[in-house]
Amino acid sequence: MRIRSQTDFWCGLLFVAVGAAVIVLAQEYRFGTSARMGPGYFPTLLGSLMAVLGLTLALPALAIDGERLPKLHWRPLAMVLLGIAVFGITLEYLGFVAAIFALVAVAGLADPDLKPIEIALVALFMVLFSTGIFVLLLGLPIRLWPNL
Amino acid sequence: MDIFSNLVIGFSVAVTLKSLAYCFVGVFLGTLIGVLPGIGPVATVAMLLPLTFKLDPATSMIMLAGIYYGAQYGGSTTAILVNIPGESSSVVTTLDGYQMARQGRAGPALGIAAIGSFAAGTVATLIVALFSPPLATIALKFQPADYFSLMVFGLIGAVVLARGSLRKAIAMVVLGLLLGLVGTDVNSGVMRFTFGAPALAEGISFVALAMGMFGVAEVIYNLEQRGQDRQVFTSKLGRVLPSRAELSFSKWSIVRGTALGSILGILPGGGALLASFAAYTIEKKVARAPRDFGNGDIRGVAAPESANNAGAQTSFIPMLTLGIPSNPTMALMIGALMIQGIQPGPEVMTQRPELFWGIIASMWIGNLFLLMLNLPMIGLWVKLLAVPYRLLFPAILVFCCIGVFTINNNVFDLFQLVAFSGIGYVLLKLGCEPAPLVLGLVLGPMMEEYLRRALLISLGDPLVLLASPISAGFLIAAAALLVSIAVPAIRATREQAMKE
Repeated sequence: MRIRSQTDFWCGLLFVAVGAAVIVLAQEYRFGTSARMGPGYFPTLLGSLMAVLGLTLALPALAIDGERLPKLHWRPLAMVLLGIAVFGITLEYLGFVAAIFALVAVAGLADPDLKPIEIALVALFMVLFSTGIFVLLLGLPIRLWPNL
Repeated sequence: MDIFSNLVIGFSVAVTLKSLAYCFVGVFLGTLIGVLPGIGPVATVAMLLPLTFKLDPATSMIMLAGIYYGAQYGGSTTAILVNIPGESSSVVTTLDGYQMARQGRAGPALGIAAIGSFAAGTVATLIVALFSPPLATIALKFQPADYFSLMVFGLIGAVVLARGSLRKAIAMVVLGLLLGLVGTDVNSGVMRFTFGAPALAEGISFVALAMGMFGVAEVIYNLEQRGQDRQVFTSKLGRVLPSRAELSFSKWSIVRGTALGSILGILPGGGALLASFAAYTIEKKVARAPRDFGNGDIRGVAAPESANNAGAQTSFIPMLTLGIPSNPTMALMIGALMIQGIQPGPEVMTQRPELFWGIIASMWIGNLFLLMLNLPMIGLWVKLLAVPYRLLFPAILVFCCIGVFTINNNVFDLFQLVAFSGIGYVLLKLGCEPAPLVLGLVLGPMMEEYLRRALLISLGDPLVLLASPISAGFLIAAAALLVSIAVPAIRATREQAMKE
């Protein structure tokens, strides 16, 4: 059988999977009764609703024409997410200044047009600007340098 | 209660040097961040939220309101000059605004947007002051069942007014409700869906989610549109003040936009988005000739801009009186109030009148600052827009990270940001709007609690939801909304309105 609306089909299937996972996980929690709802009551209810919604999306997608799956662009996605993660790790161990440089350097790879010198300048500007506003002016408790 | 004595209380809170200063800074920063292409009010408010943590509740709300209006106006500036709407509510502004900019009339377009917004803001502030107290008095009588049904109605409203597929929007609401369950269950103390991570005991970081889906995912999305022509009209700004003829030409458009926006803003999910779309559609039908919409008709900027500001303003009504957000920005405001230790709801008006009326008074002051700040400073925003996106996006990411980190000073929140940015991007690609999800996330825990209480009182009989006239009314209204959207004729109109 041919899937006619790929986006809707996979989107619906994703929702069914999420709903099913929630129902399964919620079995760990006491369900209770309607008068005395346990912690598992509402999640089971919502998980079922989610799964049903997924089906109403996925099943008609087999018959009705629709969009093909959109193309994912991996480079910007991966570099931006990696940049944020690296920011977090660097901030923990090396402080704010290093973290900003790391974020701008990694996320900068998302755009091939960005030149190394531009990355350095943007990073330097952001260090000065955000240290000025967030740390000096507003006094947010952010560690600037690594603890030596 | 006399509205004028109340407004006097409000202005005595809002017109102190401190409040004015913070309101001014809020408007300035809100505009500054909001002008960045692809950054809408939600991401802006989320980013600047940490700035308000150290302030007292009233001042922090005043500053946040300023940030919100600033961001809203900043989005319009980008829409007019670069043809990139900061958020969906300024999509229609691009139609005529960008055309005006191409014809060298960017100045008057920006000017009429500021003037229209101010006029609309003034009227809408009065409406908020007039209608909030009676509504809060009614809301005090609400039973748990009524609250539950009100939230169902609110969420259905948000879904119906969302763009794109109805089923996907409902699924987004449910997904949001599910994400809202993560954390410690208030009744049993059980940790749900935390997967052993103690940092999730308090639930998902709301700011990380909003920032990921509205900020970072948007950046990734913009980066892949690379190569698209993005011409900025900076050289030919023209005069900023619209001429007398242009003003009188568009004055009825401002009035109509204000009226429409004020009404639609109160509706759940409506707010600024629906208001601006509807205002433009109506304007195209009723404005007196010569009509030149789509080719730089100034009324095509005046009407939606007035409407979206009026709507942004009146969307405070459900937030202030019921504690229920009608759009993601209001959800952030509620989050900010809770961080300050205040549970939003009808009690705020009676127990903290200075806070309640202070916020209302500061709305008007925020609008005044917006007008004063933006007319002379448009040149500066234009310069900022001339900076290429490849240099702007790393800066946007830095702001996003700082905003998320400083909420709890916790690196774990940054990893949540990574996760929700990725999820947000995939959802965006699958044609799922993030706004209903965010509302679900905020309302999830409240809905569960009210349902639990309602069923406890009724000894488990679900018919309690239909027994109270208020609750039944909300549920019937919600059902009517759903049915109306399923009817092909209305559906076609909705799709057409959204397309324009």
